[in-house]
Amino acid sequence: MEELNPEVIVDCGPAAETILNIAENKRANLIVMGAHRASLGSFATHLPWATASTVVRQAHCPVLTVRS
Amino acid sequence: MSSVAHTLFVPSFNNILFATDFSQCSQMAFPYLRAIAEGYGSKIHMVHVLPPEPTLQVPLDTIPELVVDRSAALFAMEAMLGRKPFGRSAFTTTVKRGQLWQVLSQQIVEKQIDLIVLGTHGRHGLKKFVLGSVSEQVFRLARCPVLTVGPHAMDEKVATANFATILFATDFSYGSQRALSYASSLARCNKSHLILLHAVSASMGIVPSNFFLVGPAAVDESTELIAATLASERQRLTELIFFGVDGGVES
Repeated sequence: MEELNPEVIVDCGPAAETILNIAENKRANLIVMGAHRASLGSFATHLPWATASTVVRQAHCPVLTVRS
Repeated sequence: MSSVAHTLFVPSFNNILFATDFSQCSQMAFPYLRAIAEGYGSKIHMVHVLPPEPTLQVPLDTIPELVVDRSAALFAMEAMLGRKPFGRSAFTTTVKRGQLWQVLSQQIVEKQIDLIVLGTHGRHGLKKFVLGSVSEQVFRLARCPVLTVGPHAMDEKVATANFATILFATDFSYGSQRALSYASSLARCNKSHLILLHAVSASMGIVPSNFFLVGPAAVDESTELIAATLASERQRLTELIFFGVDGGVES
């Protein structure tokens, strides 16, 4: 199996802003993210729909949103 | 161990739905459609939805961009296909009248769609782009993954899609595991450099229940978590190769 050897980045800040900044700095050609409908009790643990929506609107590359 | 194989999720892009309004924006999706279709041997299903029969009260001439006529739609479809946008990939075309989501969701079931590709409008004259209502609707309602080529993705005009660097943004929620499968599959298929990003939220005073540390101090914890997630993904793939899925995949 081919190894992916991904680069790992952990950054602190508002999700959408951070994702967009890193995508820009790293010249990402594609952003992949999970997206959830906000629901009571779990909203804080998920990338909320709003985050995905903001990223899609502002990203300089295509965005693949994957619903769980 | 064979029971493990049943829990594996292998992303597939067998049938791609491309919803188009024939606009310049939607054509920006072509290079990406083509790249994915060629990489995964997908069939592309191009769909144009005509608005429901217009009533006399609606002054249609005020929205010239909208293709409302069936023959005009077929003509636009022909013109689009004349440029051979999909290379050698197989495709079908559909022009249907009706409520957008009703038509699309029917197509999704009928054609066993596992990816939707959209090129989106930005509203002109506004500083901040809003997604076209079509995209917003599809993006929110579709259960399968959606690849959106947004208004700003068009800033760099490309003839061939480049997936050299893929950024996977994760929050380690249960659902993000599925998204990771897609990210790693695409990265493998395109030999991409994969970046795993965890944006540690420290805003709004909301403390995620599964985060015992929030803020810069969480960085180390997150790095470990990412390594663990990766290891489990690697394990899943190894199991997939050894045991196959439904006996269909061999090493």
